[in-house]
Amino acid sequence: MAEYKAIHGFTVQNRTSDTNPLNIGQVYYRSDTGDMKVTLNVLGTGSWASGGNLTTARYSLGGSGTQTAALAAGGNGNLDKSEEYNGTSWSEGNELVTGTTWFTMTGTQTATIGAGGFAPGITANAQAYDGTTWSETNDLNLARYGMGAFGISTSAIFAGGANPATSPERRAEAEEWNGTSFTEVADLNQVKNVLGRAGVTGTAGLVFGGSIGGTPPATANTETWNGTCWTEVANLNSARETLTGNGTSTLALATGGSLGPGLSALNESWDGTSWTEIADLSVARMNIAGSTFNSGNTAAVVFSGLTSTAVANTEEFTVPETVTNTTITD
Amino acid sequence: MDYKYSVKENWGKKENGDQFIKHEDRLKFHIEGHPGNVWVTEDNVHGGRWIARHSAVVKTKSQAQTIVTDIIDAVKDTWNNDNVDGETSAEKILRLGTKPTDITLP
Repeated sequence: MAEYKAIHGFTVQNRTSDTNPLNIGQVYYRSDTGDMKVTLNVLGTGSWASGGNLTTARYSLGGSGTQTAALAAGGNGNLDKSEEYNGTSWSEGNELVTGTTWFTMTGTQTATIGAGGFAPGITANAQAYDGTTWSETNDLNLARYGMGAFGISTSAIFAGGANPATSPERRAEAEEWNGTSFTEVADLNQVKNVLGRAGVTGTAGLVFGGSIGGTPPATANTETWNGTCWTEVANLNSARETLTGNGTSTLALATGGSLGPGLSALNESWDGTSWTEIADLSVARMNIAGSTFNSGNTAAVVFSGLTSTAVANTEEFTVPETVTNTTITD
Repeated sequence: MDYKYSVKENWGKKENGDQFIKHEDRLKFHIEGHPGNVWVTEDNVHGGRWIARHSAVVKTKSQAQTIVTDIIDAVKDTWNNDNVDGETSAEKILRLGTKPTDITLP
């Protein structure tokens, strides 16, 4: 025999006042006003505000972590300095084993994998951070600098890059890090280096922009990784190289960089289908770094970079959230 | 859009959470930073309050442009003179970054 719920469905609460604002998604009926209402989390307009300055101004560095727990390491001049951000200020941590320019990093503040760069000479060297100490790990199969990397310390992808000693100089190769070693996986569709990236797992990520050489060198190309292969998707609105990225394969930010030539303060938001230009940085810069591990396109931190000289500035992107009880209309 | 020009060192964010540039600032007026701690702010009441809040040193557009240009010219000279025997142009860019380009203030 059919039950009442199977025939008539679930009912919503009758209330004479609005719901506890923490019950996001709850639909209810205001019997006193006759309104059908829902409690929603409404996103406001995102903007960049100042974060704490790094202790050492630099560019061409690696970045990982989140807006409130980020990690910066390496930089121009084969810098070996590593710094941790707590959402307010940076503090120096233990140094890299090998100081590296264009060190590519992904992961969290307590578990990051970094690889490649210029140390000096293009290197395949990889180093892991455990929240306290950097240690050498197994190398990349192909030495290069300026890759795009996403994922965590036990499952990550390092894609693209360049090595002036190889032909072609810019590379399409991608390598998967499993926590122990690198293994070659499917190539990018386009050779490029100094590209942006987003993704919090090694099985779903996004790379965008970068340099393809030539004049102008910057590309707007975007590719997604599904764990097996790369697929070209909608381009950035503005081709840029030496930019940074945050977020996931479906919700990401592409920030700063060079228009090749010309500094960029641009910030574009990815919704899984297309890029939309949103709030600019206050300081345009290239060779910039940023956190990798934010869960979407509503929070990010970017730091350092090159204007005409190295800068130590940090900027934090935040989209304010407001919980509201909204009347449902036709 | 009209702008005001000023100079103030970017001190970032303090331990008490006070920020050199706040989210509210970014929603109320345009602001952009340039070499030499030159700040270009939208010429409205909010931009004016930001300059006052920081006791930034107000400059004319010409003065601000000179500060920026002098810094970039000096960095260009340093870049041109920083060479390593046998280094290709690509390797030089890899080591030093791209040669700075001129910036024209709005």
